[in-house]
Amino acid sequence: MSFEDEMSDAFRRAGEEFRLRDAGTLVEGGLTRGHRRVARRRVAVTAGVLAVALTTGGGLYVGSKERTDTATRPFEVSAPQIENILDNAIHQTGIAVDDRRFSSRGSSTALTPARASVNYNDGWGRASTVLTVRRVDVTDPSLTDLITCPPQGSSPHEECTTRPGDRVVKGYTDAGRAGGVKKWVVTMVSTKGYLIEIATSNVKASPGDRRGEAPQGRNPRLGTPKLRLMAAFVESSFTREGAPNKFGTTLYGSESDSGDFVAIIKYLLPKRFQVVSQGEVGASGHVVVKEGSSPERTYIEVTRTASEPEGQVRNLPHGIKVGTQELPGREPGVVQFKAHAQWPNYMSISVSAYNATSPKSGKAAPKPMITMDELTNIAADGVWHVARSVMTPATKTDPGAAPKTRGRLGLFHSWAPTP
Amino acid sequence: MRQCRADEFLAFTEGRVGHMFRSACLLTGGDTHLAEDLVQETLGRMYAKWTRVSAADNPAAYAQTMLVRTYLTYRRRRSAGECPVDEVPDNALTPREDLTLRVTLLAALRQLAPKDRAVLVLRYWDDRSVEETAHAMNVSSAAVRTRSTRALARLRDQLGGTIVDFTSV
Repeated sequence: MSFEDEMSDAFRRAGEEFRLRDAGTLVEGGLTRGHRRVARRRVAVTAGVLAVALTTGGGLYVGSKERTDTATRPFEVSAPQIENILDNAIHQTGIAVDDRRFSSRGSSTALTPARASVNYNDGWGRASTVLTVRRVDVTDPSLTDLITCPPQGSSPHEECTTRPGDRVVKGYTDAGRAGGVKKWVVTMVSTKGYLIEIATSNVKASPGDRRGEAPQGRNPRLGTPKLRLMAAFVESSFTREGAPNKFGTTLYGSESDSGDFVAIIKYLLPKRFQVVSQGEVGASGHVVVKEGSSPERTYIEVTRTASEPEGQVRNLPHGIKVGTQELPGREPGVVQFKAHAQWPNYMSISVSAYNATSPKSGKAAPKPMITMDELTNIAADGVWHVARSVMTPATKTDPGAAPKTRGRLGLFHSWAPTP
Repeated sequence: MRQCRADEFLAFTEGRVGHMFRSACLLTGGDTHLAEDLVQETLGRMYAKWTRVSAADNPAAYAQTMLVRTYLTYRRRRSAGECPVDEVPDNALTPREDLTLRVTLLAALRQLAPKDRAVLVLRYWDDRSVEETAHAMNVSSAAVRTRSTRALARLRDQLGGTIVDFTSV
């Protein structure tokens, strides 16, 4: 078979592996974009002036609607809880975040929203995301205004999409009008009685504190699909009774999750090893291995990180940068071999091996049974690109808290820069 | 009138959206989120030009052409610093043999220039001729041949001369 024939076959096999999860939503969104595109074309001359006027009006309108909420439904969430929910939600998206700095405020009344913001390093610099949760009465008809696009031709948003059922509306602030600053927001009304809003922008500071910050990049780096995923996660983190559940509030990294890291480590391990124990938390996993009947053990862990390779740094083909280090362990005689690979797309994988059954345990072998070259091969394998670190509701210990229904609507909308 | 147009559009796209999504996944090197956005943007453009699309001899090919052009426009507009960790696909692992092939091929595709990638997708995924590919990309047939040869050579280098090794695991 010629290479061209092989290529046709490979494309077919690789392409057909991709499964579209929600074709209806995608088509509906495309149709709405089409409607808006047609409308924009028709009102091209007047839209600019009208939109400038309505951008401010739209913001005030949304604000006033929120202030009219006087529901007395119970609502109790502490600052650490809302912070953990945001932390878990952002890890849910699968992106690697480092050096997370939180600011949060709890709430004990439906009149006050709970709010948490996180400023983090995603490997490309600092970015911020803000979560706000408010208790609402889902039968309140005025909520529909918050989650429905304005009429065509009079929208302050550059783009806005409403979806039926589990709907999402999205919009982008006009780059020229707003000086390049964009904010993307998902607003969702949960059937359990919450108004959930997640926002991010293409400035380093939090979206509410953006003055003086120049935009970085054309768009916020956290994409709109990931924001939608975060909103769905937050929705599933609250009960109908007005309190958060363990699903969202569990401290990130304190419970095992079913990801792909252990499966991939075992796949990449040299065949001479047998795995005697394993574990996985978020974007990291570990195995303890032995070789034959030897009593010696080696602990090998893999972590997806946002940091740079350190130690002896060299370049591999395809732009992969690798750093290797030999470091002293915590206990006497324990040695840590570490290989850290970074791809051109800034995905970073760090693999460490200890001559112990855990990083905190005593020495269990004269040295790690795996070589630095073998560790480097594991770290620099492209299969890590498909490793999922997502926490799924099915793995959690509180099945009653898992979502039974999806949120009613969602909204992406834009906001105008502060003059 | 508008409802009729929307109904026609929906009837057409419901049968095509899956293939468009898979094409977009290959074009983006496996970034499914970006692929969804590309498809949605393409559908929006198609609706705006629905009269022309529906009157085309082959609306399906027209849709694929619009998808490729949307992708190339997106790549052209995007600044170099806006391609962070989003390139990590969020898909569950597939069976081992397909995973190896998919990861290897997508990784190799990501190393190619966007136009080279588009040429390969049109030629080997959509089975377009050189002339059809040239029309879809608004370039000459000679340019398509050059790009195709160059891209295949790069892929061959990256894959070690054959991809059978990855498909027969």
